[in-house]
Amino acid sequence: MINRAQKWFKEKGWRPFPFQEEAWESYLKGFHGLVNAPTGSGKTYSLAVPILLEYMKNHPDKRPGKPGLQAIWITPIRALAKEIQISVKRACDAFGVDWQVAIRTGDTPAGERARQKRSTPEFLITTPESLHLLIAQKGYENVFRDLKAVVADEWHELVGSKRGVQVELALSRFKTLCPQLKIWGISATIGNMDEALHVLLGRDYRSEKVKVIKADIDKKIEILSILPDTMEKFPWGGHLGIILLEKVLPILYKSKTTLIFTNTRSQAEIWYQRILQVAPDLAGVIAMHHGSITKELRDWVENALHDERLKAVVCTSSLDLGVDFRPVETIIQIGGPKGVSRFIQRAGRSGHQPGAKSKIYFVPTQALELVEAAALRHAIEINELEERIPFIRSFDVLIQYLVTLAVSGGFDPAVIFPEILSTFCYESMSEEEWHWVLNFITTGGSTLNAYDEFKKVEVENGIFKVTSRRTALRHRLSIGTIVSDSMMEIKYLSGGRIGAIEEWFVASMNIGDTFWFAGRSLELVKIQGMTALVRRSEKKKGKFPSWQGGRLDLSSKLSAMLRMKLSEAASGNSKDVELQCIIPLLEKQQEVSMVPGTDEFLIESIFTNEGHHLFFYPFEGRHVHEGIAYLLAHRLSQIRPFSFSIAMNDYGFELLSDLEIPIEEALGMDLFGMNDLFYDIQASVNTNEMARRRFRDIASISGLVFQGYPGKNISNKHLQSSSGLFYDVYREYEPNSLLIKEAFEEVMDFQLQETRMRNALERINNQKLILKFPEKPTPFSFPILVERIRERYTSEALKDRIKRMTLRLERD
Amino acid sequence: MKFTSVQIMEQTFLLHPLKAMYWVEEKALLVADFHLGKASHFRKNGIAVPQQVAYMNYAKFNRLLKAFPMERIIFLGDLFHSDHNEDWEKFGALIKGYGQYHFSLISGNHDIMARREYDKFNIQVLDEPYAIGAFLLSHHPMNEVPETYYNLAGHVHPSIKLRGKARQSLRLPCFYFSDQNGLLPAFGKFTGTAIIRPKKTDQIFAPVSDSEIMAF
Repeated sequence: MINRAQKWFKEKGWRPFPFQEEAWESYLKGFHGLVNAPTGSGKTYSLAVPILLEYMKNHPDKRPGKPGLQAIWITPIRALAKEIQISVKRACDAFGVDWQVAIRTGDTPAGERARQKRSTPEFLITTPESLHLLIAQKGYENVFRDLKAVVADEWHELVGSKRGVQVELALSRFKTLCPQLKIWGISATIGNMDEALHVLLGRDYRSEKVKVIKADIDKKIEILSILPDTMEKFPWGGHLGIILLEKVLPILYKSKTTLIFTNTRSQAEIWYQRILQVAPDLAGVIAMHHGSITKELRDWVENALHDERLKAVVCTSSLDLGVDFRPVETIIQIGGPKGVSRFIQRAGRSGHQPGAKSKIYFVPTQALELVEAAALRHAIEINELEERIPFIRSFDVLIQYLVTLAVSGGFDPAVIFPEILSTFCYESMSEEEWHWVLNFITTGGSTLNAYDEFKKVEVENGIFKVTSRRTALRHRLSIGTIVSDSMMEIKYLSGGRIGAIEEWFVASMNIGDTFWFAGRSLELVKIQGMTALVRRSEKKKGKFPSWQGGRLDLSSKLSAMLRMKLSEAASGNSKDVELQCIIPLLEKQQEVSMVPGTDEFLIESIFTNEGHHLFFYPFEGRHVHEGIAYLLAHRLSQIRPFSFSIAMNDYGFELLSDLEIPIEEALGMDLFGMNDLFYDIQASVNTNEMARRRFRDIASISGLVFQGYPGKNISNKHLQSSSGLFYDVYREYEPNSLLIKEAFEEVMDFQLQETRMRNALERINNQKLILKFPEKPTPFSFPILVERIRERYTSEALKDRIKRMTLRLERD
Repeated sequence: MKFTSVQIMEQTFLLHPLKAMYWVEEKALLVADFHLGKASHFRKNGIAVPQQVAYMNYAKFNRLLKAFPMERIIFLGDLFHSDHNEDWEKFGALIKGYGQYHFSLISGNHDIMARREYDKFNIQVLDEPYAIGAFLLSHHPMNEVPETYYNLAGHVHPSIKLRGKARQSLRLPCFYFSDQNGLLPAFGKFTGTAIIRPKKTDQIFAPVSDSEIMAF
């Protein structure tokens, strides 16, 4: 059979890569597996081809009538679906296989969906959410009955998310429905490749017919940092990097097409605007691309990129993945990318000859980020890539999935429970937990009296199902695990959607105010329900919107490199230009405080009119810093009650109090000690906001919080609530709920990364603690001091706090 | 317990930290935004709010009814969260034990049940604004209050934001009194709040525990 494919490749003037041929063979021999290949390497054909070949082998007579759905191709982003469809169709034509290759995503129009329902396509390209929507249909078992293959594309993107859990759950069902099923993933290189395969296959990972196929396509990456002429004027803090704009422009002019990656959407808006201000001649040939701009605008940008009509696009992670933009010659990264994999992914977005170097320019936004560039270079050299930590025991996703099955016509727990246990995510779930989940969807958790009217999933003859049409409709509209803030649509008064913006930002503006969005100056004219009506404005001054959403966390791989590079820089004998450049800054730090060596841990104590600031520098990434900060806050509160404001960046963190913090006394009492560590971490997590934040997604995914959907005409105004309220009442009345437990487990696994935190503390314990009292903020402390995003910790009684802290009421 | 007392238009009001207000001269208890039955409404629609939430409201209300020498209880709207559920019957049974009092409701946007449900438990339903002396009671705060009148209302679920040294901040549900408008905090558990920005001359009182109120 493989000859057929080789012949076709030859006719096309292509040569199959060894990894493609290996994948073809393995697939045809009945293996499951994972193809480890980067974007743009022919990875689609590594699996689409053998799926077709096998079909041809089993159907030599060519016309067996409608064979039913044969293969599902899961992609994390809709934008990729089209290109996969074109590739697969091309192969079908070449092999004379008369298949319908269809796309089913959130963008698929109702007509096309209805057509697919009437006549099942043989090859379906879809997203995890749309796949679950298909499972929510009555009689879904018949649709998937003939399935032979499921391919999870860009699996590295899914494996560390709850969307990956959705894939695991769908697969667990398909394995029962179609015992012949073969499961494959396609993934870029990540630090835990084997685990990624384990997550995909669940219990089958242990079978013998499993393979990881590695494409040996080596991409060389060169990092060129844009350096300030002098360090004197370069900011110690901040996230913008605009100061280097003048040095970025020549790169834009020189290159045919450039992608400029920023870390946040508002940064993209600002850069776009500033580029046009200093280089008005670029108007019309530069564009902007981020996740809150409408799909139409994004499509336009993507097509224009493809057709070589654009000189530059300022974008966010929205272009990390997606269609292959061959015309792109140059990549610029603004600000630390915080992870090695993300950086490599971005560098690889430039089209180039195989074997040629990818060049990526790095624009630091604050002085210490220069060290990050040197760290990145080293990490890439030694190929240290991050792991994607998979979610386990995600009861919220399980609850959603079970209701999906209940909506589709019902499920029998005796069939479903073993399927769930066979997944990676729920391997460790106990029977007791399973019963808790069943109880949650049928009775709404513990019931106290007989009059309770809870109604969601009902049990009839052992089958769990949803009978209420309203409940079913609401559930279908809520399927998915991507939770966003309450968004308002932005629309022109004259019609035409532009994008979406968070509700709180609109609330912060007055009618008539001007703001920048999608690179346009817009005047807020009217607010209508969840729509902000605007018109174009000539004003050049306006607010830039910002979107809340987690800041990226410096990965543990990169933080280790960072500590190494910093001490290299301090020693003064480094080859990296970035480290040479930063020497004046380190000298200043040494002068006013000190630059800690590898065996030293620096604490800075500064008094300002705000209060007493303590700065600590573990260089471990903001998440771990948050955890250690809460731990220290908790331990300091054993001396006396405190209220702290906590700020952190990837290099260090700050505890701020209006009272003097007895730091010397605390150090004497083993502030960083490992004794009672577990207990102290638990206690500090219990009192802080991390679990509450985690609960936001959990409440939404498990169906507690129903946002309502613009344009969907269902009345639910009496069912609206916030995850914060749910968190409070659950903590108070049902603290043993698995959903609360899940929030805490997620804090430990993803936020604090308990082992990482433990390692950091052990390291600190082996270092010499040095306490400095600088007069003024230092180069190290300044960026943390000005950090606006702050957390709180308090161990004081509410009334004491108000009385003593002289809290002022904000008045007009 | 010592109650914070407020003088408005020569009348005396005692503020209760459980978020209700007692009108001394009228021997009347004012309660806004009870949102009774909210938890059960959610549960009926398949959203698992812990059932205890409903009970806490009853227990709180029971405490209030025993706190003052009372003749009448006036709800300033949003007494019941949505359409009828079992909580209404339980509430009915509770207030039957206080048959000597007169209960009335100034109808709010959530009060959508049929009139007979209120009749059943002898709760008089009134349209807003309802005048008692110089006071206009309503659910929605009145934008324009006629001279010599004072409006007391609910609906807003007011809270204040406090800021302090060392970047501390705090949000508290509150009572709010300006020249001609007063707002009561929402009585019900499992309800959110909205931050208001008072003017310099406004009086603000915020419960800081179940037994203490602070003035700002």
